[in-house]
This record gives sequence, structure tokens and C-alpha cells, in this order.
Amino acid sequence: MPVLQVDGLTIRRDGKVLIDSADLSINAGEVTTILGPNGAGKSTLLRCLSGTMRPDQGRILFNGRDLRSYSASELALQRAVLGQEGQLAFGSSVMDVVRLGRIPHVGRSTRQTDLAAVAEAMQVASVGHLADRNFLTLSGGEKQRVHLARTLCQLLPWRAEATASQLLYLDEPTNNLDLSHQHAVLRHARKLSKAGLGVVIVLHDPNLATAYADHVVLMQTGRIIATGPTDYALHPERLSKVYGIPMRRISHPDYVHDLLVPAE
Amino acid sequence: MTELSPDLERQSDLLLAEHRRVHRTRMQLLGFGLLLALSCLTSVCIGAVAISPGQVLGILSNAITGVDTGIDYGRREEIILLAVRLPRLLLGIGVGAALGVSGAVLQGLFRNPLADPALIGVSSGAALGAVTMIVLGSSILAFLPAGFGFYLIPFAAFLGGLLVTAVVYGLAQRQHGTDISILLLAGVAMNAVAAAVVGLMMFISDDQQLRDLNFWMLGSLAGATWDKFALAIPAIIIALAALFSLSRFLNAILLGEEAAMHLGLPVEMAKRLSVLLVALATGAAVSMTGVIAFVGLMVPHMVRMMMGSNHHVVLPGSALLGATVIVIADLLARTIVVPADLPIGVVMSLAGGPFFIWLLCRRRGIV
Repeated sequence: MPVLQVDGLTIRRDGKVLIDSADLSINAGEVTTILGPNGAGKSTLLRCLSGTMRPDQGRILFNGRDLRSYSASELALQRAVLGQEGQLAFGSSVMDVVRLGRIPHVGRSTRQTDLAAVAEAMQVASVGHLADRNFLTLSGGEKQRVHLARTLCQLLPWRAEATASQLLYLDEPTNNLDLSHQHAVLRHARKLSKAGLGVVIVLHDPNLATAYADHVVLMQTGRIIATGPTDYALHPERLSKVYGIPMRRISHPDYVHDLLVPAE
Repeated sequence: MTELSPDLERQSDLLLAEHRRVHRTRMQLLGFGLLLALSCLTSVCIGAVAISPGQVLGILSNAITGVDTGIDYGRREEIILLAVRLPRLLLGIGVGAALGVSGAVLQGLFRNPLADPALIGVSSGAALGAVTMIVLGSSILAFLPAGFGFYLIPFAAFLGGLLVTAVVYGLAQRQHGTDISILLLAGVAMNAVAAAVVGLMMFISDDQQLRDLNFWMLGSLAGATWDKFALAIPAIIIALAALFSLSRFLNAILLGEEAAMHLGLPVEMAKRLSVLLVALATGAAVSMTGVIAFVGLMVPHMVRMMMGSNHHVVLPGSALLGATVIVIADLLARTIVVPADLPIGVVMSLAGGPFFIWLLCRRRGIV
């Protein structure tokens, strides 16, 4: 059974339809990426799936339960979101920033467990060595990884039976990252999905999706154009139509994944 | 799964660092507390009539427990300490703590280091209420029993502060919650309107009213009595205690409202509660002493520079340091030009402005 099941999801704001009767499902242990041109409704869809925005129509089942029936604090233990906004108003140590991810566990967890979760999350996001640094003095890539660690420690500790019901949402996590860090973040995401977590990522680059995703949701102007295995959803013909430029697939004997490139 | 297992050495490192940090913040808060105690003692001893620390101890012990310590002091010292300096000191502590914490909360809430209680209109609203009562109140006062008039100006100030804040907050309500940028702009606009009405009141006031009015606009603890203390302090204590309980929310909002929501916090309710409690604390403070600038802006800044951004520490730190700053500023206000009493607002701005600039320059490495 999928962790998240969406039927006929529709969002309207100011007379405009932002999401038009979307159907999709998200599975545990998989990386699902949402792709599409600017304004396709990727971030809006993510907001709905994470419970931040109420749909006008349709139903979202999270672990078999209506998403609307979850309280905010209940939801915080079941899903974590890495948003796009990452700046802090005041200086704070990296450790303190990551620790904010433990807020949902206040009263449910000991300080020992909290610190263990913080340590583990920092290790997974490779920011352990930055613990005492002031967040404001970090580079863009380091900041993004600190936020990733904060988001991860919200879902810790990993327990096989619990992890399979948890979801991690990453909204354009590769923004502002150089090439090596883009791959590092997605590698971490993939690793987490192998631990049993359901991971949903909004991405722009189809080649990152082919390299890291099990499942792709392709969107255009609020509609889901295709949803399915990466190779199927990201068919060059489909991409050509969605992005309005001719695309082709090239394979190279040395690479595992095909490359999707503009044809002209 | 094995790849995700925690690194135990790293973990014990963090545990150790955590203990060190908790210890350091405790020492810092203790330091702030000692500084406040020292300024309090200095403040009650110094003045037109000098009272020695020993005499202070003797008078207090006699007044509170009835135990005679055998320390020699006159009736004059006793009256000055118990009826003049002590209520003034304690009111100052309450007002300073209220302004310091209010500033810290608003800066955290608006994620803006320049926010202070004046921004949401509570100060200008209080000024508007008080000034209106001073100028137009004589006609109302005439119908009230004697002794009631004393409460009228603070009450008008408190009401004015809450009303203007309510208008500012109401303007910022949008379909999906409170829009912080509109809240700030509405605050600027309402401050301008309030200032204009205050100007109008000044224009139609007579000479005596103008003096009262000025005193109020510049802030002063000179009129402090036990009655005023009893009126303001309960509201301040309740508001501050409730604000302290919002520390976790203020920490989370550092990441932005949506991120705080993702952490499962009731963001809308907490925002509303913060603004209401700040209006209550600042309103209660300002209604007793008039507008005292700079404390709400400067104190949280200094605390953040020393202690970081964790509101579990920043709020108590701001309360202690805010109280200390007011106690010292008031000591200066009433001793610089003895026997006259300078408005504390003037002292605060004169001393606080340059000090603050120095702090900022130091942080940017200029000085």
C-alpha cells in the first residue's frame, strides 16, 4: 500500500486553478521526484502533500488516514519538509539550528535521544564538523546541508516499522548548490529511501531525476502529465511537449543512465 | 541501515559541548542578575540624601521582618527609602524587564533586528491616550470622585496602546493569516497618525498641560508610587511569564513561518498571542512611566551579541539587562542635575544612541 494516496486533488486561488484534479501515489522506500516547467504547480503540490495547504477538492490519504484528520504536531512526527527559504534573521550555532528539528519531540523524547538524533542527522548530511560554527558564516552549500540535517533529525530515530510510514519532502534541494553538492544531497536522499523512508523531491534537472529517482511525477500548468517509472515519465517526446523544446535521449556505453539533452 | 547508525564518539562530543554551553549560559544569566543587584543597591543608596548600604539593610529588615538590626538610621532615611526610592526602583525594574522582553519577542517574531515595541503602535497609542487625557481630561475629571483621576491617565494610556495595536494587527489580517510586512507598514502609518494627533493636542494645550505632556512624552520614573507599582506589576508579570512560554515558538520562527508550521507548531495562534502579550506588557509599562525609547531595541541586541539567539536564554537575559539599564539610566536621570529630575527617555537616548552605534561598529570591526 502506498504511504500517500492522492485522488482528484484540486487547488484554486483567486479564481485560478493551481492544481487540476491530480492523482498520484507515493511509496515507502522510493525516491519520487516532481518535475515540470516554472509555474507548473510543483511547490504548490508539495505544500498540499505535506499538509501545509488545504486542498479545495479531492482527498489525500496518509498511511490510510485522511491527511486533514492529522493534528499539526502529529504530522510533524510523520513527515519533514525542507523548504526553499533557508536564511536566518539572527546568528545561531549550527548545532542549535539542527536541534530545532527536535521540537516535535519535546516531551516525547529524552535529551540523550535528541542529541543522538542531532548527531546522526549531522553525520548523514556531513555537517558534523560545523557544529559550533555560526550559521550565518557558512557557504550556501553548507547552509543547505545544515537545513537538510535539521529536517532529517525531525524523523529520527530510524526504526524500520516507523520509517516506512514517514515521508521526507525536499523542495528544490539542489538550489544554489554546486555540481558535487547537488549530487551529494541527492545521494543522501537516495540512501534514506533505501533505509525505508518515502522521499519526495521537487527538481528541475531531468538528468538528476534519471540518476536518482525511482518514480517521476511530470507536471505542466497545474496538471499531472505523467506519473510512473523514471524512463517512462521522462520520455523525450513527452519532455519536448512539456518544455516546448525538442529533447532527445543519448546513451553512452560508460554511463548507467541515459542523458536527456535538447536536440538542437 | 548500518550506514545510518550514529557515531558514538561524535555524540559524546556533542553531549559535552551541550553541558559546557548550558553551564556558560547559566553563568552569564547569573552575571546579569548580580549586575542588576549591584545597580539596585547603588541606586537606592545614592541621591540628594545619601543612605549607606548598611542603613538600607537595617531599614529593609525592620520594615519587612520587624527585626531591629541595631544599625543606626534616621526617620528621614527610612521615609526616603521606603516611600520614594524603593517603589521607583521596583517600578523601574518591572518597566525595564517588560520593554527588554517585548523588544526581544518582536525582533524574533518579525525576524527583524530593527523591530521594537514602538513598531506595532503600542507606544504611540499609549502616548496618544495619555496626552488626550491630559489635555481633554480635565472636563472628565471634574465629574469623578477625588483620587480617581490618578488612575485615569495610565488607564487612558493603556487603552490607547491596546487600541492602536489592535488596529495595526487588524489591518495586517489576510485570508490565510497575518501578513508581517503589512503589519510593519500599518505600524508605521498608525504611528504617524498618532503622532499627528499628539501634535494637535500639544497645539491646543495650555502651559501647564504642555509641561505634563512633555514629561510624559519623554518618559520618567519620577512619579513612581506603591500604587502605580501595584497597578502595573501584575500585568507585566503575567505577560512576561506567558511570553517566556513562547520561547520554543520564537526559536522555530527563526526559520520562517512555514518551517515553524512544518515543525507542528500552531504558528497563527502563537503570533497573535505574542503581539497581544507584548501590547499588554509594554502598555502596562508605558502607561506608568511614559515613552522610554531605545530599551526595547538595544537590550535584546546586546543580549544576542553575548548569548546567541536561543530565546530560552535571550528572554530572561533581556529581562535582567532591560531592568539593569533602566535602573542605571534612572539613577543618572535623578543625580546628574540635582535636585532636578531629567526625563529618563532623554538619558536613555543620549547615552544609549552612541553606545549602540559603538556596539554596531565594534561588531563590524570598525572600532
